[in-house]
Amino acid sequence: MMSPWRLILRSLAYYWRTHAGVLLGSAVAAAVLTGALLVGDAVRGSLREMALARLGRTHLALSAPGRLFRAGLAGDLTRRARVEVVPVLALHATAGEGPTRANDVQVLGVTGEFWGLAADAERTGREFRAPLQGDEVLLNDALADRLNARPGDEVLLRIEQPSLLPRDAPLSGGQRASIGRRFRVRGIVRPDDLGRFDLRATPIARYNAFLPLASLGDLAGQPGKANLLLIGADAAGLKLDALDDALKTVWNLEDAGLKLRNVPGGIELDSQRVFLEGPDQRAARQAGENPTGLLTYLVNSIRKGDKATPYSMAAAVGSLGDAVAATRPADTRPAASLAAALPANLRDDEILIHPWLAEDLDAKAGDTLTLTYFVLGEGRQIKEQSREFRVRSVLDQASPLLDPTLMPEFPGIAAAESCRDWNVDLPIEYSRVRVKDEQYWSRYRGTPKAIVSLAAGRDMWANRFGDLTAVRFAAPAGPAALRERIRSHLAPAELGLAFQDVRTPALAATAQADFAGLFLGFSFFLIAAALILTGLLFALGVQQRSTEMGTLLAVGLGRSRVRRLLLGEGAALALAAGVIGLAGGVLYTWALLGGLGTIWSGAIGGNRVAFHVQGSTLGIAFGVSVAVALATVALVVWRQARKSPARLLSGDVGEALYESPRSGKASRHGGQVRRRGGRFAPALAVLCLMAAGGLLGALGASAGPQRAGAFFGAGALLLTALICLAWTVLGRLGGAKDPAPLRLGLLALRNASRRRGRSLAVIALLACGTFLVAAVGANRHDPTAHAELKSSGTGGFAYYGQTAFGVAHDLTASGGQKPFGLTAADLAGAELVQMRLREGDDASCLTLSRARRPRIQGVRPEALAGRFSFAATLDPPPASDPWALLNTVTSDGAVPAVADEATIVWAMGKKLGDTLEYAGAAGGTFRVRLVGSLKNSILQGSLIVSERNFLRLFPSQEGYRVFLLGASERDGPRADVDKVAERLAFAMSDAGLEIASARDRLAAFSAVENTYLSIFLILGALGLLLGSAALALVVLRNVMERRNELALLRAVGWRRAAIRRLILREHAGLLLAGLGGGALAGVVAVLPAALAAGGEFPWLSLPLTLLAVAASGLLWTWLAVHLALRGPLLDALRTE
Amino acid sequence: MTADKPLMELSHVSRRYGGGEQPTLEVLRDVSLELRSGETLAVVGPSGCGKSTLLNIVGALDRPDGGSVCLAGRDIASLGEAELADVRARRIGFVFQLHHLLPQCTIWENVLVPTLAVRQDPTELVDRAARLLGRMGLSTRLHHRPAELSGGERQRAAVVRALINRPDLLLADEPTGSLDRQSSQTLADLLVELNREEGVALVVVTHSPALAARMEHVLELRDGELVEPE
Repeated sequence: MMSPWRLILRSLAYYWRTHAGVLLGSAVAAAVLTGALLVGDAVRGSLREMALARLGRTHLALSAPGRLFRAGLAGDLTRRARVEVVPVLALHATAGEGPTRANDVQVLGVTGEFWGLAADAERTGREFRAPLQGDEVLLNDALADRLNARPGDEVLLRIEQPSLLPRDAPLSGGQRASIGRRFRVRGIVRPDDLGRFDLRATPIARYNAFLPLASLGDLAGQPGKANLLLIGADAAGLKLDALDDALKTVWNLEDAGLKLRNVPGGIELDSQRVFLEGPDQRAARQAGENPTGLLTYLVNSIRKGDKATPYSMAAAVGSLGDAVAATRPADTRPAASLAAALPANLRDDEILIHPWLAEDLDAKAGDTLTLTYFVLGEGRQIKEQSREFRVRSVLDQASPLLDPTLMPEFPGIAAAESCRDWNVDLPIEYSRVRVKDEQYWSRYRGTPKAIVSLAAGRDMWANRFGDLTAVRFAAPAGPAALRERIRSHLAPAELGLAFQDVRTPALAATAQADFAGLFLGFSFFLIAAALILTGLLFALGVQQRSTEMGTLLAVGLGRSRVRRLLLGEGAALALAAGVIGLAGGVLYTWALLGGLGTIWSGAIGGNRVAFHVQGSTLGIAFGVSVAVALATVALVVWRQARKSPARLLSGDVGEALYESPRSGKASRHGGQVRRRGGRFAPALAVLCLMAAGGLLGALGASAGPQRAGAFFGAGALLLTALICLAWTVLGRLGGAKDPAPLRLGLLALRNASRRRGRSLAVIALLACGTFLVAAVGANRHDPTAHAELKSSGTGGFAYYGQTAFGVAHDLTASGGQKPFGLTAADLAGAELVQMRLREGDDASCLTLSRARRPRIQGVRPEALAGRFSFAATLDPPPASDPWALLNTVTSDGAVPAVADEATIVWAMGKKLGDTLEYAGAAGGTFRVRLVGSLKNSILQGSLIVSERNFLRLFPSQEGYRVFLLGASERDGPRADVDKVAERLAFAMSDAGLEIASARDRLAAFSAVENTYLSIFLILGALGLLLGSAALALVVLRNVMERRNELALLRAVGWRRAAIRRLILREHAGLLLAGLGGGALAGVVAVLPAALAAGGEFPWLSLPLTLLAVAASGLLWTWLAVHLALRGPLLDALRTE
Repeated sequence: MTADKPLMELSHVSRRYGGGEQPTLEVLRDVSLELRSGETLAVVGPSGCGKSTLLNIVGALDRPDGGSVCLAGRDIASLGEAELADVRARRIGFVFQLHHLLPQCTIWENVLVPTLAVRQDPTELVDRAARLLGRMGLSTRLHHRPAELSGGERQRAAVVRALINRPDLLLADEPTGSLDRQSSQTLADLLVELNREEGVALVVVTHSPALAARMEHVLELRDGELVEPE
């Protein structure tokens, strides 16, 4: 029996040649679509692998930058929370020497439990649990490769010396920021053994060195300390709140950097950070022991008239009870003997002095003394200030206020034998220190020579690190009770000690990398070209079978039935194409990944993307490919099967073969209806032109992306208008004209208009391809063009440097170069901008995964005034400079930040006005609002905030780490910046300065975008090739269909060459119309880019590409004509 | 014509081509015609006179600009797309000048193509197809493709295809136009015999006087009107 399936199968088999083309076209589309989706899988899979490689089985982490706690806290917590907690001491380091030296190395002090966090804990544990000898180190593969080190080799590690008191705090003492030591390489830790452990998401593997926790602690001067706690995947079900509660139960004051010590008259709470922070002070006040606050500081001089005592300690003393008095027991008078010794009504302008000072200055009650002291300004500028006090009294030698323990353990002072040994990192003139001063130091040590009220002291010496150096308690209940009370009033989270889920967001960020979408976008034109080709081939096949359709209709099959039969064939082809496309897609993916690993490696910033495939992706790719191919076929079938059976039976295969565009098809009762598009196309063309004009009029003069968008939009509208116009013109050409001599050109035009659907498909395909090639090609830019300009992406800087350790000094300030063995003359004529850095995710376009908490850099906005170019700002920028936006105060307290446009859009997936939430250094969270975006710049990858805000948010963040170096534009000789950079690199090598050309940095970032554009162009060019292949098919088909007509021309005396010219002319017209229209629209779309500085309009490559496509199209056409006209043409007449 | 109720009745049918800016060509003008079951009619006339247009209108392949076309009492000009298809499937059989057999199908399959449109008893259908093909002398050609058959054989297969659904009306548009004399005669004989055997009314559009002479009625289409031949 006959059945629809049988008919479909018969047709598939019989028309296999035609279907093979359709199958091929659909398979190409399916392969490209599948490939694009699989690239997404590959990137996601690789990112996931990278994330898992850097985290291993780590699920939760407590990371407290700038803090150190007992390594034993991990054990306490393990017992309490019943989950293994692994302590780690993670410090910055540099490794190696000479050209292979690696900066920004992470040296990890670990215990055997650390290796249990590796993916294969058992295997890794077996390999690395054996304790290292004292001089042994493990390197990860990346560091070993960089140092070219193998087991047994010796490597130099320069490890940061962590200080709880940030080195840019007042009286922090010197620059002993790192210590160098040689180690023997015991082994290389592979990525799957946790060799690439890193809590930050960075595009490239971090350099890691592993030492035993105890050894590293000893070496760094922090024995028994850790700064990182890790919990493995076993904690997946553990609630963070429960863990934080457990932490609160087991931690102690030492973990908070606090300690209690017995002092005369009571117990003192002080901090290893010297200055007590807000939460510490609050806990101390709430401890209910009626505390006394102390703030002891070094004053440069205490002067009375012409007599001066240099470099003395002065202390501010006062009760802390007021704020919480209501919550405490009745006794509100400071109970400590210290406070008791203060006169009850000591005014803020009064001072109590040591008898030694009274004698030295010949001062007595009622005299006026001037205290001079250093304060640290923004950017660590050291300023000397002074304040006058009236002597209230000279203290008795036995006064509790004359206590050497009032001086905290300033790192560079406390242990000094003499005043000349002080190392306070302040411009102290040691020549002013007299013998009697040394004698005082020797006899009284840090005993303050002057006492002022706490309010006065805070007014003078408060800084971002704190405004108390100690709190004293009478502590009648003893230290143990006091310790517990303080601890109970202090939450670990307030000091930034809180566990965070590091695994879930890291894996989520990998899933957010939408490379499938990106490559679908890149491949869009190729897919469209393949689909148009598919549609064209299927349409040609269906048209060839028009009488068959007519017959089926005539014998009583309904129109929908006939459509279903044809659609059935199309579906079978689409399914087959989907299957072939899957295989082709895998190959296409391999090719793309091959490209990304080699010629396109710039697009992924050196990341390695390996082949990964998910069944669901293949399923989606198959489904979408089949659906898209089917939709294309359905469109063709729908168009073809709407003709009347009589027309189909007559062999009318084309849309305008036997009727002029002005004629119509039969209406229900034979009346005439206008052909579709008769008026619609010109109306749409006019509408598009008007919209394009309106768009340019409204936004053409604006700035930034709006202008570029307006021009691109106008270009696209112009393209649409031109295609509509082509449709209309093709229709007009086919219309009847007044009697006129027939010329070859006119005949060619008439012929081109006969199948205007086909002709338009070719024109549209070529025009769209050309438009995209032109529009995208013009967006390529040379990042190094005009890089010397302040408005360029380098900001006019020649070098970009970053240190491994924070540099506390302002190298541009007087004497700031001294710690590095440099002088002001070494930097003369150069301009150096220093930036603070809070580590975070790399949010540059070199990172493939979504950055959640990008790095933050703090800078004085005025230092960047006039530099870089803003792409957009959230609010109109201040008249002075857009950078001043960083100083604005927002109503909701969010910190204003500027970032590179690529960072905002691509790396973070945000827009101006969006906010990001960060964990604050002292607990809680703060928000950062994006208020400005920079055009492609060397600042890509970070959020830039004002230094003032940076220090407010991260008061403990130590020093400067980013350095921008350029020639000064001030009057005077310009420096040889290259030499300055060389000097800096040498002088700051211990700080791990890695300095690189700003141009190179910009080029590396731009390479990503330019490589993407290259990929797009290559895929676009492939699409254009398919387009020209489509042209060839159309030529071949047209000629074959008209063979008898051509034979007739031959019969009436036309030469073969003339016939060839006729066909070539007719199809060359289509080719040129497509290329010309696309190029014209493309040029309009990219005018701003073409005219912009640094723009690299492809004046040469675009015309060459167009010429190549034109040549290829003409070649195809010639070949098709040659093939079609082979053999004796006149036979066609005989077989008619 | 007989006094019975006509199977097919055309009343004042007109059909024009062109229009708009094109000159209008009136192909059929006020054409009226009746045909009863089992009758045979030949329509003759010069090329381009509108014979095929008339046949297409009668066969529900085209619609008139004016007038009505009734088949078995229903005005088919007023029917929708699906109903027209149903009329073609159940009541009309077509034989074209070019056989229009599907090249991808065998002769057996080709004659069964119209059955896709009408649900029928398969056994009966197979018997009928086999019988008709045997009647046409094509029993040995069942599994051949059209390309493997002679012109006459293809046209005979097309006749079987037209009759497979037991139509009331068989329309043949120049059925012998592409055949040699012998084949033409054979086909004409078969058409007349089948008309008798199947009781199907037959309308033939032809240039062939010999074929026209075999029909009961002959009308000429001249200047858009149906007239008795001179």
